[in-house]
Amino acid sequence: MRLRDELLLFITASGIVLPDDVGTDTSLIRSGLLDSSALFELALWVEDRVAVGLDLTSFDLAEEWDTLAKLERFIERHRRSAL
Amino acid sequence: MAYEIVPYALEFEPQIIQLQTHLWGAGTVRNAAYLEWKYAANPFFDHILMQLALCDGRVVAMRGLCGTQWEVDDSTGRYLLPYADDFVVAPEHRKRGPASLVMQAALAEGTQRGFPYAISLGASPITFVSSLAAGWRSAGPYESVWRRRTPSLRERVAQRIRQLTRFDRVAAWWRTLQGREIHRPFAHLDARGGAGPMSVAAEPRPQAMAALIERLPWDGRIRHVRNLAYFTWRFRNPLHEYRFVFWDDGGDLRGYLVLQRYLSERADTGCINIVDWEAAAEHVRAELLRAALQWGRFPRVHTWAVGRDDATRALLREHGFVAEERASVRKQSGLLVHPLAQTPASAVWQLGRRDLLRIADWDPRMLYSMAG
Repeated sequence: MRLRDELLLFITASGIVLPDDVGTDTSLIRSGLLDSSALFELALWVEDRVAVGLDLTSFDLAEEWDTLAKLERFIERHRRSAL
Repeated sequence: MAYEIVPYALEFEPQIIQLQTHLWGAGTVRNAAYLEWKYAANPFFDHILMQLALCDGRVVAMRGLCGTQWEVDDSTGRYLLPYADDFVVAPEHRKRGPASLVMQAALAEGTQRGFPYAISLGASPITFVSSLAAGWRSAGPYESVWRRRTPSLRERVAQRIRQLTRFDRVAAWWRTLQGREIHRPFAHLDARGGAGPMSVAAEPRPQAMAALIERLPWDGRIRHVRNLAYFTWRFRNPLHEYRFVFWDDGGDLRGYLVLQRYLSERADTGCINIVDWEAAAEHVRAELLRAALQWGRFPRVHTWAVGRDDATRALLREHGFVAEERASVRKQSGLLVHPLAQTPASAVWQLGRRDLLRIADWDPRMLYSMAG
Protein backbone atom coordinates (compact mmCIF):
# COMPACT_ATOMS: atom_id res chain seq x y z
CA MET A 1 0.00 0.00 0.00
CA ARG A 2 1.31 3.45 -0.86
CA LEU A 3 2.17 5.77 2.02
CA ARG A 4 -0.53 8.23 0.93
CA ASP A 5 -3.19 5.51 1.02
CA GLU A 6 -1.97 4.35 4.43
CA LEU A 7 -2.21 7.90 5.68
CA LEU A 8 -5.70 8.40 4.33
CA LEU A 9 -6.78 5.10 5.79
CA PHE A 10 -5.36 6.05 9.19
CA ILE A 11 -7.09 9.44 9.19
CA THR A 12 -10.49 8.04 8.28
CA ALA A 13 -10.11 5.05 10.62
CA SER A 14 -9.36 7.34 13.55
CA GLY A 15 -12.78 8.92 13.20
CA ILE A 16 -11.83 12.19 11.58
CA VAL A 17 -14.56 13.41 9.27
CA LEU A 18 -12.93 14.54 6.04
CA PRO A 19 -14.78 16.42 3.31
CA ASP A 20 -15.85 14.33 0.30
CA ASP A 21 -13.59 16.28 -2.01
CA VAL A 22 -10.45 15.87 0.13
CA GLY A 23 -7.36 15.99 -2.05
CA THR A 24 -3.64 15.77 -1.53
CA ASP A 25 -3.48 19.55 -1.11
CA THR A 26 -6.49 19.98 1.18
CA SER A 27 -5.50 21.84 4.33
CA LEU A 28 -5.87 19.58 7.35
CA ILE A 29 -4.38 21.68 10.14
CA ARG A 30 -4.77 25.34 9.21
CA SER A 31 -8.34 24.65 8.17
CA GLY A 32 -9.08 23.17 11.60
CA LEU A 33 -10.05 19.77 10.19
CA LEU A 34 -7.69 18.01 12.61
CA ASP A 35 -8.26 18.99 16.22
CA SER A 36 -6.07 18.31 19.25
CA SER A 37 -6.87 14.59 19.71
CA ALA A 38 -6.63 13.90 15.99
CA LEU A 39 -3.32 15.75 15.72
CA PHE A 40 -1.88 13.81 18.61
CA GLU A 41 -2.88 10.51 17.06
CA LEU A 42 -1.38 11.66 13.78
CA ALA A 43 1.86 12.62 15.56
CA LEU A 44 2.08 9.12 17.08
CA TRP A 45 1.42 7.59 13.69
CA VAL A 46 4.12 9.68 12.01
CA GLU A 47 6.57 8.94 14.83
CA ASP A 48 5.99 5.21 14.32
CA ARG A 49 7.03 5.61 10.72
CA VAL A 50 9.96 7.95 11.26
CA ALA A 51 11.78 7.45 14.55
CA VAL A 52 10.98 7.34 18.24
CA GLY A 53 11.80 10.68 19.79
CA LEU A 54 10.70 12.77 16.82
CA ASP A 55 11.26 16.33 18.06
CA LEU A 56 8.03 18.16 17.32
CA THR A 57 9.60 21.53 18.10
CA SER A 58 12.29 21.21 15.44
CA PHE A 59 10.00 22.05 12.51
CA ASP A 60 6.90 24.06 11.69
CA LEU A 61 4.22 21.45 12.29
CA ALA A 62 1.35 23.53 10.92
CA GLU A 63 3.25 24.08 7.69
CA GLU A 64 4.92 20.71 7.17
CA TRP A 65 1.95 18.51 8.08
CA ASP A 66 -0.84 20.62 6.66
CA THR A 67 -1.73 18.45 3.66
CA LEU A 68 -1.49 14.80 2.71
CA ALA A 69 1.18 15.65 0.14
CA LYS A 70 3.27 17.57 2.67
CA LEU A 71 2.91 14.83 5.27
CA GLU A 72 4.04 12.28 2.76
CA ARG A 73 7.09 14.37 1.87
CA PHE A 74 7.89 14.88 5.56
CA ILE A 75 7.80 11.16 6.33
CA GLU A 76 9.87 10.21 3.30
CA ARG A 77 12.47 12.89 4.04
CA HIS A 78 12.82 11.79 7.67
CA ARG A 79 12.94 8.13 6.76
CA ARG A 80 15.78 8.85 4.35
CA SER A 81 17.71 10.88 6.92
CA ALA A 82 17.31 8.08 9.45
CA LEU A 83 18.97 5.57 7.11
CA MET B 1 -22.20 20.18 14.16
CA ALA B 2 -22.52 23.90 14.72
CA TYR B 3 -20.68 25.43 17.64
CA GLU B 4 -21.19 28.80 19.25
CA ILE B 5 -18.12 30.25 20.97
CA VAL B 6 -18.84 32.41 23.98
CA PRO B 7 -16.79 33.87 26.85
CA TYR B 8 -17.14 32.55 30.40
CA ALA B 9 -20.28 33.58 32.24
CA LEU B 10 -21.38 32.58 35.72
CA GLU B 11 -24.50 30.85 34.38
CA PHE B 12 -22.28 28.24 32.63
CA GLU B 13 -20.31 27.33 35.72
CA PRO B 14 -22.22 24.14 36.66
CA GLN B 15 -21.72 22.86 33.12
CA ILE B 16 -18.02 23.81 33.11
CA ILE B 17 -17.54 21.91 36.36
CA GLN B 18 -19.26 18.89 34.86
CA LEU B 19 -17.09 19.15 31.73
CA GLN B 20 -13.95 19.34 33.85
CA THR B 21 -14.62 15.88 35.23
CA HIS B 22 -13.29 14.63 31.87
CA LEU B 23 -10.03 16.37 32.70
CA TRP B 24 -9.55 16.03 36.44
CA GLY B 25 -11.76 13.11 37.29
CA ALA B 26 -14.94 12.55 39.19
CA GLY B 27 -16.03 14.72 42.06
CA THR B 28 -17.81 17.91 41.16
CA VAL B 29 -17.07 19.40 44.61
CA ARG B 30 -13.34 19.21 44.01
CA ASN B 31 -13.72 20.47 40.44
CA ALA B 32 -15.81 23.39 41.64
CA ALA B 33 -13.16 24.23 44.24
CA TYR B 34 -10.48 24.03 41.58
CA LEU B 35 -12.33 26.42 39.26
CA GLU B 36 -12.89 28.85 42.12
CA TRP B 37 -9.25 28.70 43.25
CA LYS B 38 -7.63 28.99 39.86
CA TYR B 39 -9.78 31.63 38.20
CA ALA B 40 -11.98 33.47 40.70
CA ALA B 41 -9.41 33.64 43.53
CA ASN B 42 -6.45 34.23 41.20
CA PRO B 43 -4.42 37.12 42.67
CA PHE B 44 -3.26 38.45 39.29
CA PHE B 45 -6.39 38.68 37.12
CA ASP B 46 -9.59 40.29 38.28
CA HIS B 47 -11.56 38.71 35.44
CA ILE B 48 -11.95 35.13 34.20
CA LEU B 49 -10.33 34.59 30.81
CA MET B 50 -12.04 31.52 29.46
CA GLN B 51 -13.81 30.63 26.23
CA LEU B 52 -16.49 28.00 25.82
CA ALA B 53 -17.93 26.10 22.89
CA LEU B 54 -21.67 25.54 23.05
CA CYS B 55 -23.59 22.98 21.06
CA ASP B 56 -27.37 23.23 21.32
CA GLY B 57 -26.84 25.52 24.28
CA ARG B 58 -24.68 23.02 26.19
CA VAL B 59 -21.02 23.62 27.11
CA VAL B 60 -19.01 21.01 25.19
CA ALA B 61 -15.49 22.51 25.23
CA MET B 62 -13.50 25.02 27.27
CA ARG B 63 -10.11 26.70 27.19
CA GLY B 64 -9.04 28.65 30.25
CA LEU B 65 -6.14 31.06 30.71
CA CYS B 66 -5.35 32.02 34.28
CA GLY B 67 -3.38 34.97 35.58
CA THR B 68 0.36 34.84 36.20
CA GLN B 69 2.88 37.57 36.94
CA TRP B 70 6.50 37.45 35.79
CA GLU B 71 9.56 39.50 36.56
CA VAL B 72 12.65 39.97 34.46
CA ASP B 73 15.97 41.90 34.47
CA ASP B 74 15.17 43.56 37.77
CA SER B 75 12.03 43.48 39.83
CA THR B 76 10.78 46.72 38.23
CA GLY B 77 10.07 44.81 35.03
CA ARG B 78 6.88 42.94 35.85
CA TYR B 79 4.42 41.51 33.35
CA LEU B 80 1.01 39.95 33.65
CA LEU B 81 0.69 37.05 31.25
CA PRO B 82 -2.24 34.70 30.68
CA TYR B 83 -1.25 31.10 31.32
CA ALA B 84 -3.06 28.65 29.04
CA ASP B 85 -3.98 25.52 30.91
CA ASP B 86 -7.36 23.86 31.28
CA PHE B 87 -8.43 22.57 27.89
CA VAL B 88 -11.19 20.04 27.66
CA VAL B 89 -13.60 18.81 25.01
CA ALA B 90 -16.52 16.49 25.77
CA PRO B 91 -15.65 13.04 24.34
CA GLU B 92 -18.52 13.00 21.84
CA HIS B 93 -17.31 16.32 20.38
CA ARG B 94 -13.64 15.42 19.94
CA LYS B 95 -12.30 15.50 16.36
CA ARG B 96 -15.23 17.73 15.42
CA GLY B 97 -13.50 21.09 15.56
CA PRO B 98 -14.50 22.87 18.80
CA ALA B 99 -10.99 22.44 20.28
CA SER B 100 -9.30 24.77 17.81
CA LEU B 101 -12.22 27.20 17.95
CA VAL B 102 -12.03 27.70 21.74
CA MET B 103 -8.25 27.88 21.63
CA GLN B 104 -8.32 30.63 19.00
CA ALA B 105 -11.06 32.50 20.83
CA ALA B 106 -9.14 32.39 24.13
CA LEU B 107 -6.05 33.86 22.48
CA ALA B 108 -8.16 36.51 20.76
CA GLU B 109 -9.58 37.51 24.13
CA GLY B 110 -6.05 37.76 25.52
CA THR B 111 -5.09 40.02 22.61
CA GLN B 112 -8.17 42.15 23.15
CA ARG B 113 -7.24 42.61 26.79
CA GLY B 114 -3.81 43.89 25.80
CA PHE B 115 -1.51 41.11 27.01
CA PRO B 116 1.75 40.81 25.04
CA TYR B 117 2.09 37.02 25.17
CA ALA B 118 0.38 33.92 26.43
CA ILE B 119 2.45 31.17 27.98
CA SER B 120 2.00 27.55 28.92
CA LEU B 121 4.28 25.47 31.12
CA GLY B 122 2.27 22.37 31.72
CA ALA B 123 0.73 21.31 28.43
CA SER B 124 -0.18 17.64 28.23
CA PRO B 125 1.36 15.85 25.23
CA ILE B 126 -1.98 16.18 23.38
CA THR B 127 -2.22 19.90 24.00
CA PHE B 128 1.49 20.34 23.28
CA VAL B 129 1.07 18.99 19.73
CA SER B 130 -2.03 21.03 18.99
CA SER B 131 -0.42 24.15 20.47
CA LEU B 132 2.57 23.83 18.15
CA ALA B 133 0.16 23.47 15.24
CA ALA B 134 -1.67 26.60 16.40
CA GLY B 135 1.41 28.81 16.28
CA TRP B 136 2.79 28.37 19.79
CA ARG B 137 6.57 28.04 19.93
CA SER B 138 8.59 26.06 22.38
CA ALA B 139 11.41 27.62 24.39
CA GLY B 140 12.65 24.15 25.23
CA PRO B 141 12.05 21.07 27.35
CA TYR B 142 12.25 20.95 31.16
CA GLU B 143 14.94 18.27 31.43
CA SER B 144 12.92 16.02 33.68
CA VAL B 145 14.97 14.05 36.17
CA TRP B 146 13.68 11.07 38.16
CA ARG B 147 14.77 9.24 41.24
CA ARG B 148 13.41 5.74 41.56
CA ARG B 149 14.20 4.10 44.84
CA THR B 150 15.18 0.44 44.92
CA PRO B 151 12.29 -1.43 46.56
CA SER B 152 12.88 -2.21 50.24
CA LEU B 153 12.91 -5.77 51.58
CA ARG B 154 9.30 -5.32 52.72
CA GLU B 155 8.24 -4.11 49.29
CA ARG B 156 10.02 -6.99 47.59
CA VAL B 157 8.33 -9.45 49.95
CA ALA B 158 4.99 -7.81 49.22
CA GLN B 159 5.58 -8.14 45.51
CA ARG B 160 6.47 -11.81 45.89
CA ILE B 161 3.39 -12.47 48.02
CA ARG B 162 1.18 -10.79 45.46
CA GLN B 163 2.51 -13.27 42.91
CA LEU B 164 1.57 -16.22 45.11
CA THR B 165 -2.18 -16.46 44.70
CA ARG B 166 -2.59 -19.36 47.13
CA PHE B 167 -1.83 -17.03 50.07
CA ASP B 168 -4.92 -14.97 49.39
CA ARG B 169 -5.45 -13.69 52.92
CA VAL B 170 -1.81 -12.79 53.43
CA ALA B 171 -1.73 -11.10 50.03
CA ALA B 172 -4.81 -9.06 50.91
CA TRP B 173 -3.21 -7.96 54.17
CA TRP B 174 -0.07 -6.83 52.33
CA ARG B 175 -2.14 -5.02 49.75
CA THR B 176 -3.85 -3.09 52.51
CA LEU B 177 -0.51 -2.17 54.01
CA GLN B 178 0.85 -1.08 50.64
CA GLY B 179 -2.36 0.79 49.89
CA ARG B 180 -1.81 2.91 52.97
CA GLU B 181 1.49 4.05 51.54
CA ILE B 182 0.00 4.76 48.13
CA HIS B 183 -2.77 6.87 49.59
CA ARG B 184 -0.59 8.55 52.20
CA PRO B 185 2.75 9.04 50.44
CA PHE B 186 3.80 11.71 52.90
CA ALA B 187 3.25 9.43 55.92
CA HIS B 188 6.96 8.79 56.57
CA LEU B 189 7.86 12.45 56.13
CA ASP B 190 5.05 13.56 58.45
CA ALA B 191 6.03 10.98 61.05
CA ARG B 192 9.61 12.30 61.08
CA GLY B 193 8.44 15.89 61.47
CA GLY B 194 11.90 17.43 61.37
CA ALA B 195 15.27 17.55 63.08
CA GLY B 196 17.61 20.34 64.13
CA PRO B 197 16.90 23.49 62.11
CA MET B 198 14.63 21.60 59.72
CA SER B 199 10.91 21.08 60.11
CA VAL B 200 8.20 19.46 58.00
CA ALA B 201 4.86 21.20 57.56
CA ALA B 202 1.66 20.67 55.62
CA GLU B 203 1.08 24.39 55.27
CA PRO B 204 3.25 27.05 53.60
CA ARG B 205 4.66 30.09 55.36
CA PRO B 206 3.91 32.68 52.67
CA GLN B 207 5.36 35.69 54.45
CA ALA B 208 8.65 34.03 55.38
CA MET B 209 8.97 32.36 51.97
CA ALA B 210 8.38 35.63 50.12
CA ALA B 211 10.87 37.41 52.39
CA LEU B 212 13.48 34.74 51.64
CA ILE B 213 12.98 35.15 47.87
CA GLU B 214 13.36 38.90 48.33
CA ARG B 215 16.68 38.41 50.15
CA LEU B 216 18.19 35.88 47.75
CA PRO B 217 20.31 37.07 44.81
CA TRP B 218 18.72 36.78 41.35
CA ASP B 219 20.36 37.00 37.95
CA GLY B 220 17.42 38.62 36.15
CA ARG B 221 16.27 35.58 34.18
CA ILE B 222 12.51 35.36 33.64
CA ARG B 223 10.78 34.01 36.73
CA HIS B 224 7.38 34.09 38.35
CA VAL B 225 6.85 36.72 41.01
CA ARG B 226 6.90 34.84 44.30
CA ASN B 227 5.49 37.37 46.71
CA LEU B 228 3.11 37.09 49.65
CA ALA B 229 -0.01 37.10 47.46
CA TYR B 230 1.39 34.36 45.24
CA PHE B 231 2.51 32.06 48.03
CA THR B 232 -0.76 32.59 49.90
CA TRP B 233 -2.77 31.55 46.85
CA ARG B 234 -0.55 29.03 45.09
CA PHE B 235 -0.66 26.11 47.51
CA ARG B 236 -4.43 26.11 47.87
CA ASN B 237 -4.83 24.09 44.66
CA PRO B 238 -7.47 21.53 45.67
CA LEU B 239 -6.16 18.97 43.17
CA HIS B 240 -2.73 18.85 44.81
CA GLU B 241 -1.28 18.10 48.21
CA TYR B 242 1.94 19.74 49.42
CA ARG B 243 4.59 19.30 52.06
CA PHE B 244 7.19 21.87 53.06
CA VAL B 245 10.61 21.25 54.51
CA PHE B 246 11.82 24.46 56.15
CA TRP B 247 15.24 25.44 57.49
CA ASP B 248 15.12 28.12 60.18
CA ASP B 249 18.05 29.85 61.74
CA GLY B 250 17.60 32.33 64.57
CA GLY B 251 14.05 33.16 63.58
CA ASP B 252 14.84 33.64 59.88
CA LEU B 253 13.81 31.20 57.18
CA ARG B 254 17.04 30.20 55.42
CA GLY B 255 15.64 27.70 52.96
CA TYR B 256 12.68 25.63 51.90
CA LEU B 257 11.86 22.68 49.67
CA VAL B 258 8.31 22.06 48.46
CA LEU B 259 7.04 18.58 47.63
CA GLN B 260 3.80 18.02 45.76
CA ARG B 261 1.62 15.13 44.73
CA TYR B 262 -1.57 14.83 42.66
CA LEU B 263 -4.92 14.01 44.21
CA SER B 264 -6.85 13.48 40.96
CA GLU B 265 -7.34 9.82 40.14
CA ARG B 266 -6.52 10.70 36.53
CA ALA B 267 -3.00 11.78 37.49
CA ASP B 268 -0.02 9.80 38.73
CA THR B 269 -0.86 9.87 42.44
CA GLY B 270 2.24 7.90 43.40
CA CYS B 271 4.68 10.45 42.00
CA ILE B 272 6.20 13.11 44.25
CA ASN B 273 7.42 16.31 42.58
CA ILE B 274 9.95 18.76 43.96
CA VAL B 275 8.24 21.93 42.77
CA ASP B 276 10.26 24.64 44.48
CA TRP B 277 13.55 24.67 46.33
CA GLU B 278 15.44 27.72 47.57
CA ALA B 279 18.18 28.26 50.09
CA ALA B 280 20.45 30.99 51.36
CA ALA B 281 23.49 28.67 51.41
CA GLU B 282 24.64 25.57 49.59
CA HIS B 283 24.78 23.40 52.69
CA VAL B 284 21.18 24.36 53.49
CA ARG B 285 20.09 23.47 49.95
CA ALA B 286 21.88 20.11 50.16
CA GLU B 287 20.49 19.23 53.58
CA LEU B 288 16.92 20.08 52.56
CA LEU B 289 17.13 17.64 49.67
CA ARG B 290 18.81 14.94 51.72
CA ALA B 291 16.24 15.24 54.50
CA ALA B 292 13.23 15.26 52.16
CA LEU B 293 14.39 12.12 50.35
CA GLN B 294 15.66 10.25 53.37
CA TRP B 295 12.72 11.03 55.62
CA GLY B 296 10.08 10.68 52.90
CA ARG B 297 11.27 7.31 51.51
CA PHE B 298 9.31 8.05 48.31
CA PRO B 299 9.36 5.36 45.62
CA ARG B 300 9.45 7.94 42.80
CA VAL B 301 10.51 11.59 42.87
CA HIS B 302 10.56 13.90 39.88
CA THR B 303 11.73 17.43 39.23
CA TRP B 304 12.95 19.75 36.49
CA ALA B 305 16.66 20.31 36.10
CA VAL B 306 16.33 23.05 33.52
CA GLY B 307 17.71 26.39 34.65
CA ARG B 308 19.48 24.87 37.64
CA ASP B 309 23.16 25.65 38.21
CA ASP B 310 25.90 23.01 38.01
CA ALA B 311 26.09 22.55 41.79
CA THR B 312 22.35 21.81 42.05
CA ARG B 313 22.49 19.42 39.11
CA ALA B 314 25.41 17.63 40.74
CA LEU B 315 23.44 17.41 43.98
CA LEU B 316 20.51 15.83 42.17
CA ARG B 317 22.83 13.31 40.50
CA GLU B 318 24.44 12.45 43.86
CA HIS B 319 21.01 11.60 45.19
CA GLY B 320 20.24 9.27 42.32
CA PHE B 321 18.24 11.52 39.99
CA VAL B 322 18.70 10.52 36.37
CA ALA B 323 17.58 12.27 33.21
CA GLU B 324 14.62 10.94 31.33
CA GLU B 325 15.48 9.25 28.05
CA ARG B 326 14.69 11.11 24.87
CA ALA B 327 10.94 11.54 25.02
CA SER B 328 8.63 10.07 22.44
CA VAL B 329 5.73 12.17 21.15
CA ARG B 330 3.69 10.42 23.83
CA LYS B 331 5.61 12.32 26.52
CA GLN B 332 6.77 15.54 24.88
CA SER B 333 6.07 18.85 26.53
CA GLY B 334 7.86 22.08 27.20
CA LEU B 335 7.60 25.76 27.82
CA LEU B 336 5.33 27.32 25.19
CA VAL B 337 4.88 30.94 24.16
CA HIS B 338 2.35 32.60 21.86
CA PRO B 339 2.42 36.29 20.90
CA LEU B 340 -0.84 38.14 21.43
CA ALA B 341 0.03 41.66 20.36
CA GLN B 342 0.85 42.42 16.74
CA THR B 343 4.24 40.72 16.89
CA PRO B 344 5.74 39.96 13.48
CA ALA B 345 6.65 36.28 13.15
CA SER B 346 10.23 37.29 12.43
CA ALA B 347 10.59 39.45 15.55
CA VAL B 348 12.40 38.25 18.67
CA TRP B 349 9.76 37.44 21.28
CA GLN B 350 11.06 39.33 24.27
CA LEU B 351 10.14 40.08 27.84
CA GLY B 352 12.34 42.94 29.04
CA ARG B 353 15.73 42.16 27.57
CA ARG B 354 15.23 38.40 27.66
CA ASP B 355 14.36 36.11 24.77
CA LEU B 356 11.19 34.17 25.57
CA LEU B 357 12.16 31.37 23.18
CA ARG B 358 15.55 30.80 24.76
CA ILE B 359 15.23 28.44 27.72
CA ALA B 360 18.51 29.79 29.15
CA ASP B 361 16.73 33.14 29.62
CA TRP B 362 14.23 31.50 31.96
CA ASP B 363 14.66 30.41 35.57
CA PRO B 364 11.83 27.86 35.61
CA ARG B 365 10.43 26.03 38.59
CA MET B 366 7.80 23.31 38.50
CA LEU B 367 5.79 25.52 40.80
CA TYR B 368 5.27 28.05 38.00
CA SER B 369 3.62 25.29 36.01
CA MET B 370 0.16 24.17 36.98
CA ALA B 371 1.61 20.65 36.96
CA GLY B 372 3.39 21.57 40.17
